[in-house]
Amino acid sequence: MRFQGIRGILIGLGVFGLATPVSHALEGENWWIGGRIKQGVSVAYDLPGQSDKAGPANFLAEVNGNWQPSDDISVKGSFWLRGDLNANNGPDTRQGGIQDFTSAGFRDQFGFNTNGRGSGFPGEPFGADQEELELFDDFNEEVIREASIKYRDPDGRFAFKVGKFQRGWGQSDGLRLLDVLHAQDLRERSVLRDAEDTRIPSWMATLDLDFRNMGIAGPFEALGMHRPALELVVIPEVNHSRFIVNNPTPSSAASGGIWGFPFPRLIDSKSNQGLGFIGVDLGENEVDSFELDNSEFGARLKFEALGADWTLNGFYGQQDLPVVALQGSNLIVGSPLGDPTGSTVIPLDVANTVGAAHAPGQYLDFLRSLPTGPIAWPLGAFGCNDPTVTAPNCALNLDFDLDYDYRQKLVGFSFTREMRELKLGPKNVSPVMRLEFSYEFDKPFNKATVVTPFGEVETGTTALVIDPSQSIVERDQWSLMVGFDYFLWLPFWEDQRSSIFTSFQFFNIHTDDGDELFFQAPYSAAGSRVPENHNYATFLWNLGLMQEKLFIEGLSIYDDDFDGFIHRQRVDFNFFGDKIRPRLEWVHVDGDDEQGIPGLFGNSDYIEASITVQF
Amino acid sequence: MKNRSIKKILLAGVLSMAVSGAVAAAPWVEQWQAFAASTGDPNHAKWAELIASPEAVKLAEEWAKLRGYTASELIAKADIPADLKPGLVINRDNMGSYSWLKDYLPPAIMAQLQSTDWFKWSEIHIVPTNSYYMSRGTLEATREAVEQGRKFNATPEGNLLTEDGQHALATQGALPFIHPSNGLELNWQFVAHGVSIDNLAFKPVVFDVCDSSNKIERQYEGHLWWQKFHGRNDIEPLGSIPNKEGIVEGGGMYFLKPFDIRGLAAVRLRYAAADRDDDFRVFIPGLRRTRVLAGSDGQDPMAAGLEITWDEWRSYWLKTNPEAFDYKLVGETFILAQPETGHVYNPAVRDESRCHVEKVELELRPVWILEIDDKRGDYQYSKRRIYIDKENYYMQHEEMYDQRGNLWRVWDDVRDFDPKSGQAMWKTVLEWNPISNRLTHLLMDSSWETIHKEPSTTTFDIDQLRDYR
Repeated sequence: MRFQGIRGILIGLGVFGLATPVSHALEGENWWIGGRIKQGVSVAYDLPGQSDKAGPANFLAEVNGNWQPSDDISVKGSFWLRGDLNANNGPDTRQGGIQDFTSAGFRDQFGFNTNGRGSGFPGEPFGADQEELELFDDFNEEVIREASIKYRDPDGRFAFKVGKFQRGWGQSDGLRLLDVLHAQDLRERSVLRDAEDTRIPSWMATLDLDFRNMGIAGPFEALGMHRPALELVVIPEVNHSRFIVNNPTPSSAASGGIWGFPFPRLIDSKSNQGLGFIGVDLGENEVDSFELDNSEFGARLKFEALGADWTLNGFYGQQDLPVVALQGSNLIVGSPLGDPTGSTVIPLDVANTVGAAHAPGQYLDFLRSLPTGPIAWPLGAFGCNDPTVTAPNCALNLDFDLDYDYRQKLVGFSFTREMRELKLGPKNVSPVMRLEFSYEFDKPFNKATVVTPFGEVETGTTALVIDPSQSIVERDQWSLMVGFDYFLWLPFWEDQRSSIFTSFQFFNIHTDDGDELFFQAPYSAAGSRVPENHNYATFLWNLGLMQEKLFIEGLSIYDDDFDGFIHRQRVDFNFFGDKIRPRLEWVHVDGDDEQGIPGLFGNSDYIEASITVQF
Repeated sequence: MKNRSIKKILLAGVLSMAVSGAVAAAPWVEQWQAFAASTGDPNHAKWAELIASPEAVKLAEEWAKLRGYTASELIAKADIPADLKPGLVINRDNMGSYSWLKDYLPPAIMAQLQSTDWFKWSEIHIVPTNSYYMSRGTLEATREAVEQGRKFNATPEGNLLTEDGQHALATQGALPFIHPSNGLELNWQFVAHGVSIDNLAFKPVVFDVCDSSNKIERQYEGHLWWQKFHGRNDIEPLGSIPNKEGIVEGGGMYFLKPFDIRGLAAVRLRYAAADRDDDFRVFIPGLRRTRVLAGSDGQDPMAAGLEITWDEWRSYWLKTNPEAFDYKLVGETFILAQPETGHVYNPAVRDESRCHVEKVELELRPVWILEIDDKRGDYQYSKRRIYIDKENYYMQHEEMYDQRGNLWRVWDDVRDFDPKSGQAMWKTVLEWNPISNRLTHLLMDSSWETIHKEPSTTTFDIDQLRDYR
């Protein structure tokens, strides 16, 4: 019923958009209202052990407007209603669930249906509805993309903007070094989406000061810093990045579809056994918004020197991505799949959870003894059957918080310069060099190796089952991007009408003692760690053909350390006037399981066909 | 019937002399008044009234005195065919009757007059020749320079310097070569014409993209600004815009339509120094980020599907570079060109498709022919042939040839020229591509009422322009 309503709205808006000529847009002397309706359908073609299936059918209805009551004041609004028509209505697609206790060494995973309840035990006992993806309709958090007012001083000395909006920093594409003012919404698609679409706008205020127009540029000019300007940012509404972990644990089940973060493989690094009978309840430890103590502050000094544009950036904010913090666990007596319904639930605090896992003779010792001869089953006293003897009836659901309550302290600079001294190619075009550097202080990580209170050294997933004070450490991290943009004219293409825009970037992200750290907890398969110097390379190109009616764009990212590769290919068919914008988009991700970002989405390849009607 | 028309024209002339205080009117004014009376077209009457205003006539005559001639005088001295006169109507059917037409009509326009399918120019109406000139401030600055005997130096490196070695266009407001003796001087005089106003604002400019089937393929709309940063003679602040040292001028544009490019903003600044490429920045709404583009490459279309490249922004935006280009003054002639009557009316009327010209007025203009040859073969055009008006030093017509020597693009425009002030913006631009049969038509709404306050100090700051709307 809900979808029929959404479809009705979309069809109505689409018809309205098609029926309204561009020249008849809703507008007046100083105001304008426009919008677009986008509907996509997709095919997911790289599902493990499954045939091709219908993927997300994302839709977006967007209405934008602006009003300029005077030359110095502009008011803007932008509102989105988006979702996925295939969420809960599409075909079953299967991903990995908790460790399969019927498999050898518990090393396989039960299946997990990303579109509702699984087909049942054995094989696919789990699944979840894609509730969050169906319709993003939280007015403040999801519908308002911009509601702002800006005042510009007529003499150009300052500009003040307040409201809900977003602002981009830095020059990097694909990876964020300085573009840190906003968290990201990674729920619909996590990789290679447009920055505008993924940034989460915040209620914030900015003040731009032009030092020359203010008459205070002298000291900067004396230092060779020309046209200095300062941007100050205050963000009282703190957001963290949003994503969905495809969690099979019945008490915390969630599905983000093919772009949900996969449930991690829970493998004991010592025995190489799967951690059978273990589920995970996920909670969040968020920062309270609109409190001065938690607000985010940014400053950016912009100037020109040595023929280049420079920025010096500083940000005192909050972390967008979490670390994992153990909060305790629930022993589920009555369900080996961790389903508390109809079971007895015995809560354990952190200390008892750590003990149940690591203490001599407890869970991990039992697990590790299985290949050579099991020791005594440690949970018999709770009424749990020994799984080596009879049908299991218990599970332990670990309770983890995704903890965002850490400050992000970052400084950096960017440098952009057209290399005028260098003229290349058949038309003697200069490349544009981009350089970006950031240094983040005390970035929190989960430790991949810990010493338990019982003197055992644990590495990998089992190291997360520890008091957070031992699990979470902070490291300084610096990142460097060197990039070149170049407008390519081909010498053998005589009729080339427009250049091919190309952009190459190389990244190095340095973290001290990275091999002790999870790249992103809890993913730890095959020892995935933070490389001391993590290198990426990206390449972006776009090309217009047929008088730019056929527009082709490719964006690739290569993760050198994890040997991962992501490619996004877009083809826009702008053959149908100004109202209709068809697009084909192909996303290919190749990476080893849980090895860096590509490894998380190695089976998320899809091709999407979309059509946008704009008015 | 013919005698009655002549009587009407004479009577109109007499009446206009009476209105203007019995002072002999300038010849172009007389001709226009007579022509307006003969056509009965209110647009013609309004235009004739405007150019007859005392301040317009005075300004025109002062410019004529400075340069030493008017277009009317040059035409009067030339051997012009007797039937090439106001009121003549030329179309495809009768054009064969005028053997002289090929000598006065640029070949690209002749082709469109002959066209039976793509981008037809159906009917040409000959109107009287006007007098065009620049602003009073430019007049006075140039006159002073001439009287003082100031010399300008067009260097082989591509700089235009004053006698004390400063960049002329970044320090003063006089035109450098009112009597150009070679192609490089003519090029600089044309460049110094700039946009013929200190501040320019189009609100909006509408781009219609016509395909080879004469259908509107795309339409763009945006607001566009231009500002002369130095040598400002007419609009406050006079002299120089603060904090723009070394920068000659700037242009900014904010796209409003279609929806998917709304918010795209571009700022391009032209440095005076020959060895400094333009500062070219674009705010990309999809990224919410400003990108620096290569100022050395202005050869891409301004937007998808347009024939206008960044180097044709305000008709000619290629940086002067004698090392890369030959600038040749190849001749002088008279051509038929659209009158700059945009302040009152558009002399070209499109048909319903908006991709054909149903009727267009042309007037006879004295021009220099400037050819700019690409010496290295690495520019998009092997040659530009520009017909530069001898009165106002702005182009009347431009042909651009590809590297194989084929005519690739043609520019023909109508200025929004205010005869009273001598300032000008634009009304329309036609840029067509005879190879792929595509047309870009620009229609500008010059914002005369706001140019005293815009562009503002923030217009050319891309970080401010991005929030314009």
